[in-house]
Amino acid sequence: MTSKVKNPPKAEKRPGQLRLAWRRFCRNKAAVFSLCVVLLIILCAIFSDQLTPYDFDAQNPLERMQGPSVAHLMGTDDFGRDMLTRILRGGRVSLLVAVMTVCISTAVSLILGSVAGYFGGVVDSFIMRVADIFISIPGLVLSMCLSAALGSGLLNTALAISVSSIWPMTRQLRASILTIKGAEYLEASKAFGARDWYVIFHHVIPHALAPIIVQVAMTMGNAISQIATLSFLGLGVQPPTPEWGNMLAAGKQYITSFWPMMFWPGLMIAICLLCFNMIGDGLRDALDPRMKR
Amino acid sequence: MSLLDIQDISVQFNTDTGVVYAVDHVSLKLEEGESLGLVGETGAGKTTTALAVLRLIQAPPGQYTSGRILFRGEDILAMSPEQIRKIRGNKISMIFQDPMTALNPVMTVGEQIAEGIQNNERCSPAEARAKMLQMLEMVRIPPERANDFPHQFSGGMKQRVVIAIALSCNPALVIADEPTSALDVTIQAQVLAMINELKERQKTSMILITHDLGVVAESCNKVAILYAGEIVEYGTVEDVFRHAAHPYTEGLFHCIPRLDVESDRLETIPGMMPDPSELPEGCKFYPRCAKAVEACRNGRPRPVAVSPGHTVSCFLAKEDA
Amino acid sequence: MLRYTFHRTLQLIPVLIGVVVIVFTINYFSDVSPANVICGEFATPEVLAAKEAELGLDQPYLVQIGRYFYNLIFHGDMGRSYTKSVPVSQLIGERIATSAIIGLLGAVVSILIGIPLGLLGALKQNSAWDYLSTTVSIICTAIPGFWLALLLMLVFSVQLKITPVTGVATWRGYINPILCSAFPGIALLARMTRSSILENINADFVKTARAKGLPERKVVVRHVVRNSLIPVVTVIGSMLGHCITNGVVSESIFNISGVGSLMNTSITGKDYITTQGCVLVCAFMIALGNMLTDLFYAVIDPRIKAQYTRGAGRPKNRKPSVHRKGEAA
Repeated sequence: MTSKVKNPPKAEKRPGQLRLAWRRFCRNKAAVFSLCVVLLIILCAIFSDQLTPYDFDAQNPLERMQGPSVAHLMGTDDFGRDMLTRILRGGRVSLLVAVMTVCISTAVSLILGSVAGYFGGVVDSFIMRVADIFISIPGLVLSMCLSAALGSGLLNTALAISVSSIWPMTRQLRASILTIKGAEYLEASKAFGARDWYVIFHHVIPHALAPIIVQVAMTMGNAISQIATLSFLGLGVQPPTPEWGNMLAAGKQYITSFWPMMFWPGLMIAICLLCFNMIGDGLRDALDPRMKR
Repeated sequence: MSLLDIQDISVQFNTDTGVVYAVDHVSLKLEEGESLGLVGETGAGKTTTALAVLRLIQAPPGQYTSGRILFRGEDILAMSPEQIRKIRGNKISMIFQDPMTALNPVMTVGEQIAEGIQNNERCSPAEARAKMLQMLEMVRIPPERANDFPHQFSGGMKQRVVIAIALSCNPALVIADEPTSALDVTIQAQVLAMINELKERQKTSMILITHDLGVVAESCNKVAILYAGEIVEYGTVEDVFRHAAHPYTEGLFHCIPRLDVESDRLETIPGMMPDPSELPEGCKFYPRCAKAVEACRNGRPRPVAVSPGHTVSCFLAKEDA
Repeated sequence: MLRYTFHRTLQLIPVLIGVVVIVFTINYFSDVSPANVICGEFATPEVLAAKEAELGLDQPYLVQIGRYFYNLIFHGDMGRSYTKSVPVSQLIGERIATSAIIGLLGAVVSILIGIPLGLLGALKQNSAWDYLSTTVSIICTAIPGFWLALLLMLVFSVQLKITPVTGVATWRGYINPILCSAFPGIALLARMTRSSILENINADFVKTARAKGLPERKVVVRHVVRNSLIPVVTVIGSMLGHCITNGVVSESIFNISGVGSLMNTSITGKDYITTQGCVLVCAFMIALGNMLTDLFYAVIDPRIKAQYTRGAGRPKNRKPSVHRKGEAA
């Protein structure tokens, strides 16, 4: 009787979770395209000095506020500096501070979130009440206060922005740890005799990691926009250093006479935000197949 | 003219991972007052067939690829949205599988029953409400609970509300999609008895979808066995239960545990139902069939009548001369 | 229900106290003293010390914060501005109406555009409308607020000359700031509405409703939309809460004297006590917005109402996680 049965459940080697997720991510054209754009921007920022013949700081009073031309693809600013060079160079600062922000806030929220999730009780409610308070302060205002108090500079700016982005991530992490804490498949896994560390590495971490990875992408975009906002308002990164936000602030004065100066930096910020959002969406769909519709 | 005449209907779903042939050239006939049991494993296409009759299949991804569904001689698939809407609830209604999700959580059960009555009978809200209270009484729910919300009801009570919604406009045909499988065993018999009783009282025809052959024997006069979207055997309950001719039907009967035969373990049909997006060539059942012959591998068997009104789709079945 | 409202209001208090403590602490440990800013770069140490004593900044941390709370709670006094020597409450009082008008009208505009856009996208899924809806929401989220303000200024004020470049002397002056505060809301609402409707449109109870023979319009309005409203309401609640804060950038750009621009100038001008007052007001608004959202849930969802009236406390897991997204934005 059994001889005729085709038995499909042959234990074939299945690709790992990460590779599957990567494959799903690659199917999302918008996300892949965004990733490429981001990589391109990063490369341009790193090699900004080599990519254009100009120095980002070289002033040229004879070529003030020129429109786009072959020599200056994006034109020049009010000091006759090449805009493209400054934009590329500015990306260096923005991306660097954004990466610093994401590292700081991810690290801190990983600690806080897992401590709250694992230990529960008093520690948990204390951390969560603090999070409630911080979340009640508008993120931008908190970063502004901190930035004003800490002073300008890259690290200080990164710190100022991190403090406001820690808390949503902490909540997220805690929530995912809590949902998994009571999950039956953990019990099932333990019932089969799995050790604690096995359970943690095979079930808890992958489960909690997915939302964090998504959050990281979203925080990147958010951080870039916050850095720019701070610098635009005169906090954060200060003028001699080119940064998209303070370039915009400089361009603002010439809005009636020479608008390209405020157009390019804003466009770069918007592109970065757009790309990181798309990557975040793509990652969410890829990492959490249940969410996909 | 039959009440419902499904002729050669096919439904497929076009998904990211391929085309799923959920219902594959199914033909069924149901006369006024008859009850038909639709039996099959999970994923055999029972629910899709039922939804197809009410044209409730979501399109896309769903797509009707062949056939007609005649309700009292009119083709449901050719109707305008307005026409089919007048049939839904009024002439054909449906009892859904899972009472936990079949009711709107933010509306009172009374509203949900009255809504259909008011819509189909074009009556005043007060009349609809009166009829609604009557329906609640019929399914033995105290009328004062009409203003409660679904979350305040138990599973069995919710299913009775769903039954009340389905029967509230005296439909000619009720499709009950596994009405008891989400309920506790003790409640199952009770709900089933209620459906049967109301069906008798209102002279309603019924299509009962289930995987429980016992339930079919109890409440149906005809039965269709569905396998991978295809009807493999169709006939009166009498014929199919006494003279099961398709190996799959036989297998199903063997799966029912018997107390009078000494046996250590339950009989099963080996293997699994094929993935409806990757169907084998030839007869869909042959990979699992104990009696498979060479012909099964190469061609699809056509339904043959082994006795009047009893058809079987199997190469081994002998046509009644 | 009343008890729940009361309970929820009490919960606001520790949050607001915490907010004051945090902002106060940040400012206290700032490396630049307000006295430096007020007296200018070239002030002698004696002048600075005198100024600090006058403002009470020479006192220890606990005394300062204690005094602030004492005045706030027992006299409703938020202190006097360091730079303008006017009570902070007066400064805020003069400006809050302008900010509120802009914020609320902005919220109204985003509701009026965002929700229909999301509905259109969901009900005509995968059509041109759907692409329009998603594209608009993607673009709206990607444009940073200050750039948007400048673009609006460039298009409407400089090129088309419809609106004044700055100020709100006439009603036209309100157009740019209102649009500016509406944009992020449009994106958020459109996206939220769309996904929430799509989640419900194939729900079992919607099939039941269709099987009853209801016209599609009734199915959508009575069954789909009402159930989809819950996450959307969360977004609206948090939008209302943030309606003043959103002005920080746009009010500064459009040179409008509102709470947002006051906050900005007070932060950059080290007028800490004013900052503190503004943040307190903003935090209060945000907390109030969240509270109203929670209360509104109970109105539209009987399941939640049941939990409240039974006194089961706050139903944490019913709250969609989007809430946090809205707050963080």
